[in-house]
Amino acid sequence: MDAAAEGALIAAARRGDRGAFGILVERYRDRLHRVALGLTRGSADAEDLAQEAFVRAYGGLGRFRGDCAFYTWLFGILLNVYRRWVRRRARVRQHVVNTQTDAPDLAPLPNRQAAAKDELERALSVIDHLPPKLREVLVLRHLEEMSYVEMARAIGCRVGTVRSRLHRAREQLAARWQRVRGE
Amino acid sequence: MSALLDGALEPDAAEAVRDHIGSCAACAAAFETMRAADAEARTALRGVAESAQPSGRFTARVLAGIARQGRAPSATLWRPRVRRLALVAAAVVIIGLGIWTIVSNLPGREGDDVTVTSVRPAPPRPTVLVLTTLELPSVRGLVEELLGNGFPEPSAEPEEVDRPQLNYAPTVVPTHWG
Repeated sequence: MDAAAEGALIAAARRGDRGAFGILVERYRDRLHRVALGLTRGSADAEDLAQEAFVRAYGGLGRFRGDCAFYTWLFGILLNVYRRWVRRRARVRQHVVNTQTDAPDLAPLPNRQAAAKDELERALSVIDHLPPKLREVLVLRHLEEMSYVEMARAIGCRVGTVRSRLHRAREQLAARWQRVRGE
Repeated sequence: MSALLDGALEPDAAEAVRDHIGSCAACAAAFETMRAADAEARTALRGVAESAQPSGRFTARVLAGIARQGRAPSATLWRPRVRRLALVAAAVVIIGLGIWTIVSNLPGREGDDVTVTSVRPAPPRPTVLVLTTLELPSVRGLVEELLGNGFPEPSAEPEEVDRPQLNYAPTVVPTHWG
């Protein structure tokens, strides 16, 4: 789908054509779902978050000005939904990143050895300690390979802020990674 | 170092950072730790992202959610802007009314004499200046600035003013000025 076709779908959806919006959902659902999984550490809520992002995107189509890619705008909405989810969970004192029940069952992944699984689990536990804002930039960078400019547009901040958050995220990762390795 | 990992530095800056890392053992160790931790985090995140696929009813659920919402997309860009402008205008009006209320209710002594020190030629659109007290420094400063000349310090006995001789008894004196 080229940009013109996507623009036509967006315009149609803006006029209330839900079928056109459904095509856009089909196009971007896997990417949004992946990022939601990364943000929530594979929580079962990830799908709900991605769906809610699309529903909100439809309601706010009139605010999409086209000054960034449609998917960048979608990720911005997903981040807002994610932040609300974090706050909601914090209120019930179930921190998202530390709940074992939210951890994905990694066993079904093909050819995954026990050692690799342990390694993955250890890396996830390191990421779990990142505050949501630092986790966001890390996830967008590693799962979507977004540039700093794209991340700034999705998050709604300056490029310098993205750079700084990524640096802090990696510093914290490195410090905790060293501690975990030293144990 | 983080930007170097992302390849987000200008060539000159990247070269300078690499040179420093090459000559500084502490920074080299820190960079290597950061690089390794970051690589592991990337692998872990990708593992999690591949751990599940969206359900087959994903799109249908989104469309059902939209239908439940029963709201058409906001069709125009100006609504949020108008809302913001309206909020700003309301804030200005409220703050302005607040300031006006405070200033207009400042305590003054009834019966104070008022000294008018100058009268200017009547402008095309005459304006009435009402002076109630000269004791409020901010009001006096503002009036002095407007009139371009100073007021005498208020005193129990109004001072003699040479030009023009306009020491009036009334509490309020209409003055035309431009």
